[in-house]
Amino acid sequence: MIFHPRIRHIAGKGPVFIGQGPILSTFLSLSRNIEGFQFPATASANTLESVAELGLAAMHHEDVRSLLPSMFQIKHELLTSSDRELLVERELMDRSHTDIAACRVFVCAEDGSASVLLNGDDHLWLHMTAPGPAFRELWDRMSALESALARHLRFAFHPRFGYLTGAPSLAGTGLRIKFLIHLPALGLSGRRKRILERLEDAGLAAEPYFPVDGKAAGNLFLISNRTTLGEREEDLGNRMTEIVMAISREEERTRAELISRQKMLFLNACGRAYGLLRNSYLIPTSEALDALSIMKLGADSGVFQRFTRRDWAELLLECQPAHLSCRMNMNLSPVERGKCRAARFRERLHGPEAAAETGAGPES
Amino acid sequence: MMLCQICKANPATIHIQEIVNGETNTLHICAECAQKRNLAEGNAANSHFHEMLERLTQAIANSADLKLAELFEQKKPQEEESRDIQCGVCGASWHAYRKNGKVGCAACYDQFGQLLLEDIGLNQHGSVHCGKTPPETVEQWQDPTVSERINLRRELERLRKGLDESVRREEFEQAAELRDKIAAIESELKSAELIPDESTPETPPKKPRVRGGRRKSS
Repeated sequence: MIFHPRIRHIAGKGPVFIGQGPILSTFLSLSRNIEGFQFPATASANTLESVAELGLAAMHHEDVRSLLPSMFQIKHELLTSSDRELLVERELMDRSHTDIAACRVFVCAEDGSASVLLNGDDHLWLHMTAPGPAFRELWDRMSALESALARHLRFAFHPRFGYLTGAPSLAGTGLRIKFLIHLPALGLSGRRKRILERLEDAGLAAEPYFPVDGKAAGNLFLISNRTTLGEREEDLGNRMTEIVMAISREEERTRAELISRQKMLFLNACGRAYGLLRNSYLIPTSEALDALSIMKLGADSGVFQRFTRRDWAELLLECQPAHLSCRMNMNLSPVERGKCRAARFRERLHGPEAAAETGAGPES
Repeated sequence: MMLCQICKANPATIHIQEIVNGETNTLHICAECAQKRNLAEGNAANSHFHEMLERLTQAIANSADLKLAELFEQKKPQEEESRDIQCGVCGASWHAYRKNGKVGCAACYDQFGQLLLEDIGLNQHGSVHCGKTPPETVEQWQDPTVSERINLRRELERLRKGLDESVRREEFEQAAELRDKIAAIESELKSAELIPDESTPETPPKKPRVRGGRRKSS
């Protein structure tokens, strides 16, 4: 068994990146430490055990549980590497938390919209995701969860440094806000690099979501805050939302210009991307992501009438390694993955008979 | 008795050996000099220590008659570089923070105070926290048993440390006393609520297998 049943269940849930237009999703994470205990990186086994027990005890109170619907908990060491990879792909776990460490516990809402990691970089790492630009809703929910936990746990707090974290660069609010944004047109126009570099002035950073050789496969970027001290959570979130919305408007404006000026080229690109995904028998991740990026551009612009953003978001998740392994219920080599990925695309864009042609279709 | 190679006054109690290019170099120094130069044993200072040692041994290999004391001063020109502070609570050092960007515990923030603020303040929006703060009064805590448990846990940590210490010092009477106290607290904690630490894989994900909100039996 390479996947924990709970994680397999989550893999079957709806897609995360379903937002309309360029802004696909918003992710929020909040770091907290319990007062009086050493931070996890250097803490003793006894301390880690105490923290895990206190954290779980707090989470099992009714007021906290109601904010994490039907939550379940799994010891981190019982998750296979595929499980952890799948959680990263679904944005429920940070990649820096995938290594096994003592007394690390993963807690997750059953619908996959929120998770808590005990004994990660900090004692508690609360994480939530929502489609589209959704800072407001997410922060209300996150703040409620934090307040509920704070009724049962006393968090390490300093009047000057705010909430204390293992990495002082996160001290203050302990909050990371991330927006997943899709910027193909700005990339084509050659202005994307300049725009993203200017984010630094606002204390923000942009990084490729799928970095391949230093480039952003699929034209997907994560925009996140670098500052946590000296600004209220709402102010930061609203400021970031404004900036990200402005970039999104710029992207949409560029798209409209691109389509009106070079309609033929645009349609050609969409048609070829569709053809590639529909007719491949072996397709590597980065190629698939780039083609999907153009498909999304086409879908947003009304070129593909029957290809919805939900279809797109599902394909984006399904073409990633752990989701493919989960679907086939076996560990796959890169070549096998390329085959399965292609088969999945053929099935989704063509109909089931196309996938069966090579026998590499999904298990029935 | 061998004298310290740095101060040439105290007996050398720390001996360091390193092999560079197949050649073995040995350094004998006293504890005082070691501490002065942040060479005290301890994991936190280790990385810094190794770096210094490497330079040192290389230099020895290059010119055997170069005086060590001079070398130390020469290789440490900046005051800030050589200044190290250790957290009295968890033992994390300022140098370790500069290396990996992490501190060990909440007390580190007070210990490194101004230095830390200067360091992180550069890239921050402001230098004082604003935004959410914890509930201020204990009355706002809904559940006194949890805070009580936290206090017990903390006490347990303290006692365990004390026990290790007295065993090391071979103060067995005190150790026995501490052991009994630890056992008492442990049984108190056990008699209170215990959390099932695992959701069994086979359970259908309909009902969470958790027990919550249960207080100590009265």
